[in-house]
Amino acid sequence: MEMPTPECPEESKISAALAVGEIPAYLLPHLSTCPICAAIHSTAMQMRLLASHLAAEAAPSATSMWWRVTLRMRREGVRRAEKPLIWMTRISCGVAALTAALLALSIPMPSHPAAEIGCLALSAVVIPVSIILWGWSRSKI
Amino acid sequence: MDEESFHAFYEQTARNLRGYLRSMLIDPAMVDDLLQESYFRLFNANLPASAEYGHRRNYLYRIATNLVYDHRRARRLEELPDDLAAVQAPATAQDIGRAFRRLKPKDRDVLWMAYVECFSHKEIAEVLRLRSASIRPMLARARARFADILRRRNIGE
Repeated sequence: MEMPTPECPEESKISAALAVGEIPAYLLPHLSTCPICAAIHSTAMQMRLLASHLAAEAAPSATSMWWRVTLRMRREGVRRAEKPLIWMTRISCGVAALTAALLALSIPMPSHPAAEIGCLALSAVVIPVSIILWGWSRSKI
Repeated sequence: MDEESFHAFYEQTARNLRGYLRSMLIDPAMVDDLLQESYFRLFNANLPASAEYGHRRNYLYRIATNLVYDHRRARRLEELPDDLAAVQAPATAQDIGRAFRRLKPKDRDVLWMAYVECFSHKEIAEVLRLRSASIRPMLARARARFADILRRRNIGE
């Protein structure tokens, strides 16, 4: 169970005055006697000093930020548009590999040595190409 | 948001938001990355053109706060060194910065939002996704801790 924090009825007025940037004269005597409001005022002053110190560092210009943000938006747009194409490539690679496998199973193995060499050469080309395409489509995601 | 309104909004918010990020992170390059990411996400959020300035600003701070927390989580709570800024500054601003960095991130959040951005308690609660009623005691505790660190470092209040 936490201790309740001490409260001052003028706290909200002091905060509002700090937001405006000027403490009205009628609150000044209170500010000098109330520890809660004095702490609020003192913290606000320290925070503003810190903020003005940090704001002295140059931020990117609005034009450069607009350019960066819109460029990124365009890139994201392209990436989103490419996604279905990449999936289509993956699916076609899979279907091609499956079809090749089914064909290989359905065709009786030729007995002629030249035909055997031809089949092996074809596999040696089809399999790496499928793997490369698959890898390429993965790298695009 | 068109280019003109983006420029106007950026001019109003960037300096303080960058200051906030700077007070929460060490690496100035990361500060600018997160600044850009914050505006990108705000832009991407497609808030209605009629959205008020205050609503946009609160949304921007919510994004920035989440990015800072994600970044800190990813870096396993990088501990903040004493040298707040590489830039030259009056001793007191640097001392205050050092003391500020000793605070917990939540304390820094509420102090920055309350006293630099002058957010209302309700607005702070919205940004930090907390109950509005919990902001006043949080602020009081953060103030007390900040004053305590300053006192221990002999920095006048």
